[in-house]
Amino acid sequence: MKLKWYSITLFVIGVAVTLGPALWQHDPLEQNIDQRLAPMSFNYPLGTDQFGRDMLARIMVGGRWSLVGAAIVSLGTTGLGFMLGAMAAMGPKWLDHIIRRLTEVFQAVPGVLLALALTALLRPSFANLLLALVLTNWTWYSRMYRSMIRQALSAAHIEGTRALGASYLHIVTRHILPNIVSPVIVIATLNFGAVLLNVSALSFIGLGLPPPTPEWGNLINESRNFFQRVPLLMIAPGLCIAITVLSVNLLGNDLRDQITKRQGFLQK
Amino acid sequence: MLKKLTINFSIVAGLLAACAQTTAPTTPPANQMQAVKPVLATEPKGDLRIGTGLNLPSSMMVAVGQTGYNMVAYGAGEMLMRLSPQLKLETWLAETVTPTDASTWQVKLRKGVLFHDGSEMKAQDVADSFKRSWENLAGATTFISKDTKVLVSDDYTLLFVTPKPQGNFPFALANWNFVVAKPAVNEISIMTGMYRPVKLEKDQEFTLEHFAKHWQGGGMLKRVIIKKIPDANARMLALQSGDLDMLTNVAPDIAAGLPADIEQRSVGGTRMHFVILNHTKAPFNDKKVREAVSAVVDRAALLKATLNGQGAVAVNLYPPSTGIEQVPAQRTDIEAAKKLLDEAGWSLNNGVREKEGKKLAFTIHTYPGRPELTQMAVVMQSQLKAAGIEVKVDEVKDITVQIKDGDFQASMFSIGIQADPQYVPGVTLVKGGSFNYGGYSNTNMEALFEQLKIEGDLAKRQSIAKQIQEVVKTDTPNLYLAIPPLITAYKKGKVTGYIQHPDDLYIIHKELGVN
Amino acid sequence: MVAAALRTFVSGASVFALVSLFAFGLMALAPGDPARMALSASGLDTPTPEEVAAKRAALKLDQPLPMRYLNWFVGVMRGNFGSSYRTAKPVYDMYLERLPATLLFAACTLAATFVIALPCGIFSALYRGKWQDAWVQGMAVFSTAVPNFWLALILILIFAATLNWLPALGSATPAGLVLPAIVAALPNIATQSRLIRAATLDALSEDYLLTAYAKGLGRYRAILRHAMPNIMASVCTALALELAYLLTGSIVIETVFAYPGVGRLAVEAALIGDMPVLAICVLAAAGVYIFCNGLADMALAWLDPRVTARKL
Repeated sequence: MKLKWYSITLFVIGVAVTLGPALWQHDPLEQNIDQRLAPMSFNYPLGTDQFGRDMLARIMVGGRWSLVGAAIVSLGTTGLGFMLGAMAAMGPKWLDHIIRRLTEVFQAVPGVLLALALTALLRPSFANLLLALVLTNWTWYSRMYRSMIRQALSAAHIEGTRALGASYLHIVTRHILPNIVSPVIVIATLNFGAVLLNVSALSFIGLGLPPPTPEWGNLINESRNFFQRVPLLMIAPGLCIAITVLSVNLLGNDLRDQITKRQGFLQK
Repeated sequence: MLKKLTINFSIVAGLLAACAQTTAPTTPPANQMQAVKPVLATEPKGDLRIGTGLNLPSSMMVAVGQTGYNMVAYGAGEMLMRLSPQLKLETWLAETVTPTDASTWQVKLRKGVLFHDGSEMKAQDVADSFKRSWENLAGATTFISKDTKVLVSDDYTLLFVTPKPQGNFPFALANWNFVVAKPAVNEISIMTGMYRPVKLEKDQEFTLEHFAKHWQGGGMLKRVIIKKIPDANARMLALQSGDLDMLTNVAPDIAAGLPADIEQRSVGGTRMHFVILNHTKAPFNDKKVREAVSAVVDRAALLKATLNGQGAVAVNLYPPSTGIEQVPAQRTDIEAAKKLLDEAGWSLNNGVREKEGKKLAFTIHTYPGRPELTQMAVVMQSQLKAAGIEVKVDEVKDITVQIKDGDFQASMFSIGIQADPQYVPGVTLVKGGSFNYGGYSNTNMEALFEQLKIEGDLAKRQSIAKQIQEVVKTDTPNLYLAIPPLITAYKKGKVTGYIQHPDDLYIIHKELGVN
Repeated sequence: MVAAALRTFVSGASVFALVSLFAFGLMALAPGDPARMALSASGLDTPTPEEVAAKRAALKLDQPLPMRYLNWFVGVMRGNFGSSYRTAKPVYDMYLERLPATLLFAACTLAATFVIALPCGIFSALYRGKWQDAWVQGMAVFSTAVPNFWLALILILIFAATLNWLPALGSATPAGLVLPAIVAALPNIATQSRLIRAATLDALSEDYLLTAYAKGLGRYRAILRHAMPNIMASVCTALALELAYLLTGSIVIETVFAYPGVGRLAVEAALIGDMPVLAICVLAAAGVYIFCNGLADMALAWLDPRVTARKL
């Protein structure tokens, strides 16, 4: 596989958010009122915010929250979607029916609205924000997985094992998972970007982490009062989101193309 | 020309100590019997669109909540007395207010004042209006006792007989809880101001219209429209793009980013930004913790980080601009704070203060209406963290809803403070005070406040005010932070005749017009 | 056809009933006493226990939950959605007040989406594999990656704050709709143009188009006359669902532009816990979605009869 530019970007971002904060000279929470709204310099490559906190450090730590948050949502959605999809595909007909209705209900309420409603019910916090996003995103996955599992189940050798009286667990772990694991990864990757956008958007509205913890979405929110004086404070975190999402999407597209070539599984 | 009638015994903010007299002699001005000459109304023109981040009134009836405040601010409501832009007490709908004995006040009304429905203001209307205030507004009763008898002597003369002598009676008449109004028709109070409320879209827009029969001839504007835009940044952009003509209460940091075609007017405000501490809940039911937290907060740094260095640092509950003599009570002293926390049993463990395995931590609520409040909370958070105290900052859209049931630990708050020393303790530090959300009660404070209420002698009022500040000093009821400058911004050349009043209760005035 | 319509209706109604259960749950499970909140909304901040009890009885809060749900649902069916905890106004009125602005916003966004995505999609299908195609595709990928609230701020910075061409605040006026509609339309343009591209490619390979070519029709005219119904059919579903989402208000965009639509109503309600308002937003959103979904199914069957046959 040729080295694509997005893999380099993703690598750089990964290193910056994991190792960056430990290596960098400034603490993201350390206030230095005398240096507030400082311009770009060697000491502060991205300047400082209204409390004199180093923007680079805040963006690196903020990326941790955003990316880990989006990863948790992606994993949670995949897990929940797979579970319900498998239940629908393999369970009795009435279960399939119930899950289908449930899916329709959750699809009928727009995700952001559902997330708003849930955070209002559970009080705003980052964990609740992530939970709300999982609950709003799983529907599409479960439908997808249901049809994929069905397809896998209908394969001849599985019908045979079934006839031999193998347990569901056995069938799932031995025969279905190996078959669908790569499409699952592709779907999760393709969806990661959208999840990241949602996390930062809700965080931007003020449903996420309380101050002073940085996160890409709330960094943009915090910079709004100064965005004419110091536009960089708003532009930098937004660019981080855009570049990450773009790279992840391109990676997902490439993975999809490769798998499609290999097994013709995922036809959109 | 209309003569401005200053009250005979002028109670001037800041000069109180100088003119120490109980009740001044009362010679009514010579022209008091003359009917007010009709004033030629100027042809009103243009709409003034004001942007605010603060709550709009919840209804157009002054007998509900804080509607009265908004009605006065936007030119619809008027009281018997008012404060001039020099913070001097002067008559408004009253012509004279004179004491006849320690607890009886004679109020002569201005003649020819018309209500928005066209009827003339008579003494009975005023008496009824006061009764409605006492019945409906908790704040009203803290200023003038609801057991006060209001006697109508003739159409233009009233006698107020207070159950106890009340020293600040004329000042209390300038309180927005006593907007003179007739009962609401179609849910709109009938008032006397130069603009008449016509439409309220809750939380969105409040529209007032020129009232042509105003006793001063009415304002220069056809309409006044107040738009609520919670986000400070959006407000500023709206002013720049011409969606708004004027912004009040602009944060200094935002003002610093305004382009040159925006005119800015700044005065030292009479507003106090402070932290309400909840005395019914841990950790602030412990006086030592309150004192320690207050000693950790570096107010000068707050000012620099959030108000662009403008405004003033608070040393006690009264802003210096009110002219009340200050008793410095608050200072930054990290060492003293450490000692206090140790004494209170909160020992330092790995940089965190702990007691019985529990961390010293609290949540501070804040709101976006005054953007510097949230920023102050964040700066304090960092200052307190260095002292081992963990603070969570929680910004909520509506602070009153959040804290009114006492379900909080600490909350940012801000009140406009009048030049009279009675107001602040009355609403924040005594039982039943309308902003005493933290449930503060202190027998000394209650006693002093009772004294202050009945004291008529200005010098003595000052000395009681000092004693109140002494109680604040020893008891640390709240954290007083800063007095922000009052900044108003408008497009150059668009708004004319604007006079900046240090008290944000008075925004709209007669001379205000638009091009 | 009639049977299909009936089936769509029944399944839609059952989904709506389930959503209503969720909306009711929002109010029933929310922290705080609705009676107290209703009293304080009407101006009574410190009610006596008797007043609270009376209000509880008046709101029928003492009844068991299933009864409360039924009462509420019957009310909803009659257009009585309850009163706001904050303003004491009927939430139905509050919603209707905001709806026209959101409708206008949705219409503009959809128009912008369609007007841009249609030519882009067809154009990129016609130049399949060439640089023009790559360019359109690239733009589409890029525009779905940009956070819309951030893009909104950048556009405000450029067009409102710096150039002063457009107002910074969204409003239901032509100038006030430009920026919000562009920001809301952009990701839709990307997805729609991709769909249209695929549908066009699909149609281009069909036999009848070859016949049309053979009859001597030009490329564009052939596409317009023959492939369009197919393209429309495939875009139809997506657009109908898009409409459903837009009608509930693009919440984030309405917030950034302080646009007075239902999306902002929902955010304001969520932040202060005004559950009846949220409940009506949820119900309305679901209602519109279910309706549009059903409509799209019907329209699809009508536009492209093959779909019904193909559908499982």
